[in-house]
Amino acid sequence: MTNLKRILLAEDNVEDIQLTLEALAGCHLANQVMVVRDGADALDYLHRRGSFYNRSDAQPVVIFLDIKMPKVDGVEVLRQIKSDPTLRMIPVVMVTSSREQQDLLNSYQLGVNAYVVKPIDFDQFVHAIQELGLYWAVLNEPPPGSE
Amino acid sequence: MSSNKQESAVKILIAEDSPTQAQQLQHILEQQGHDVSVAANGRIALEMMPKIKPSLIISDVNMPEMDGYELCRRVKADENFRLVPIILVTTMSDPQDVIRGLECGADSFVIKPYEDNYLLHRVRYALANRDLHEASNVGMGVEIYFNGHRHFITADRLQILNLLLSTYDAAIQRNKELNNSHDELRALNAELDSANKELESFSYSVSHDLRAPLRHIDGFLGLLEKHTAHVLDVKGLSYLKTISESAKKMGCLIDDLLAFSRMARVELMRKEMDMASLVKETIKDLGPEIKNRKINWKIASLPVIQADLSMMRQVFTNLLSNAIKYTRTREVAEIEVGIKTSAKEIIFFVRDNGVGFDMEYVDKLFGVFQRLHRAEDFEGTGIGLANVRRIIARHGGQTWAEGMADSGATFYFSLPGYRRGQ
Repeated sequence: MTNLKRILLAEDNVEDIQLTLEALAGCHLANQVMVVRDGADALDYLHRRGSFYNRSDAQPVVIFLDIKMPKVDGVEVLRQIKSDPTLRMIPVVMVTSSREQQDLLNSYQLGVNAYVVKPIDFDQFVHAIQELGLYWAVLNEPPPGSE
Repeated sequence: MSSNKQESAVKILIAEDSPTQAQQLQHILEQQGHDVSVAANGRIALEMMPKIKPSLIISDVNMPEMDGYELCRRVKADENFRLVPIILVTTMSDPQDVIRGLECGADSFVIKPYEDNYLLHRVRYALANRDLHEASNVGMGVEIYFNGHRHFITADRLQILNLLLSTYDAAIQRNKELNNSHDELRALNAELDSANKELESFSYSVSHDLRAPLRHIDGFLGLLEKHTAHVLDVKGLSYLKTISESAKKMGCLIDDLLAFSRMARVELMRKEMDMASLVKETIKDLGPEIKNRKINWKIASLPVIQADLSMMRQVFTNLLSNAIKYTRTREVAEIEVGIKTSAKEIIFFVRDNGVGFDMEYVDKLFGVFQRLHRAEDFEGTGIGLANVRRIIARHGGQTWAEGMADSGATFYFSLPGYRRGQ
């Protein structure tokens, strides 16, 4: 199933990447996970520029965005995605450490599709990530014209 | 010793019973080159008049033996001295003071506390105008009523004008001072704002950066367990469990502390809310904690009040879940929610027949992370009652508790005068 769209994970923290990938592996998704390490890379990936100049695969089925990242933070990435007509239909999920009011407010005002606080409890964390993966990659009907 | 070219030195008599204030005033005037004498009250000042022949009198109002008004009256009644201008130094807390000043014939007011320059300005003004008195001294009395009292004012027109001008001048001065303190307040507010912002960014980074490593500890612990469960003995597994529980506990502490600090900053949204349905809902939400428990609820009829609904929900969630928790050892728990009303406040209370507490430690109850029970006996971080206290304080009320070891506890909070229809 090579035509299956990827999940884009924007996360700067190695431990979080490892834990998230472990969790996603547990729900046996066929989708590949593309990992970028900061907001600038996430935007380069989506715009097929910089080191992703030659990328030919489709846009991701969903973007999992950490908020606190170097260079460009998650909220700014979200803002740029949602204000770009070519990107705005891609579902974006904030996956972050905090439930700070300002982050929640900013994210929803910018049109985020979901907001998930990573639980400290590992079982709950795995459960949350797996639910997210299954929901957005399998259960959710993607926007038309994005195949 | 006149060092100041703008003013010619004159003789000034000060009537002031406070030695420090007299000294200060004397110092200010002497620096301008004036020849200053001090009298400790009106009577002494009057006695000194013939000898000193001052060009100006500056008098306090409240003095023993003879006050400033009386001194003023006597001076103005004396053919020899009636042209000597008198400045009354007063706190001027009342328009009545202006009338009294007019009645006694004072020329000018200076309002305490004053700035040196302002006082000198009034002195210059009084001296510059003193000669004009000569011309216009056909005093016809005027009767005025103020605050239900009749006053007879014989001061001449110039005196009245001077006095009113000095009052007006004082009002402007006061206004200037108010503006200054307004500016100071504004500056302080800006400082407070920036301190608040700092606190916010601090709690923001605590929220993000302190939780992440805990998540990693528990995460990798989970992975470690998955990979090694088959080779670990019971002890090893229990160590893993302890580490994991500690990490989660720290997570709870961080979350609680953040919520507590947020509580101080979040805006209070007061609106009409029904305490009866709030308590009902809260008990329903606590369902999982009451499963398999025998509890006799006794809920009084509760009023509609003006308060922040989500904050009040937290108050009752904390108080009721505490009552449920600490009656766990009872076969039948008795939990009562009641009120006592008085003219100015409503007092709510939650009473239980649980394990109670020793009144000796009652002050600790509402502190942050303060606990009166071991975590093995009764779980919790110790933030609940601190939150209750902060919420009630933000509503202008108070919190307190009564209890006895092993004989139940009652937690009270008061809300000032928020009643139906208010």
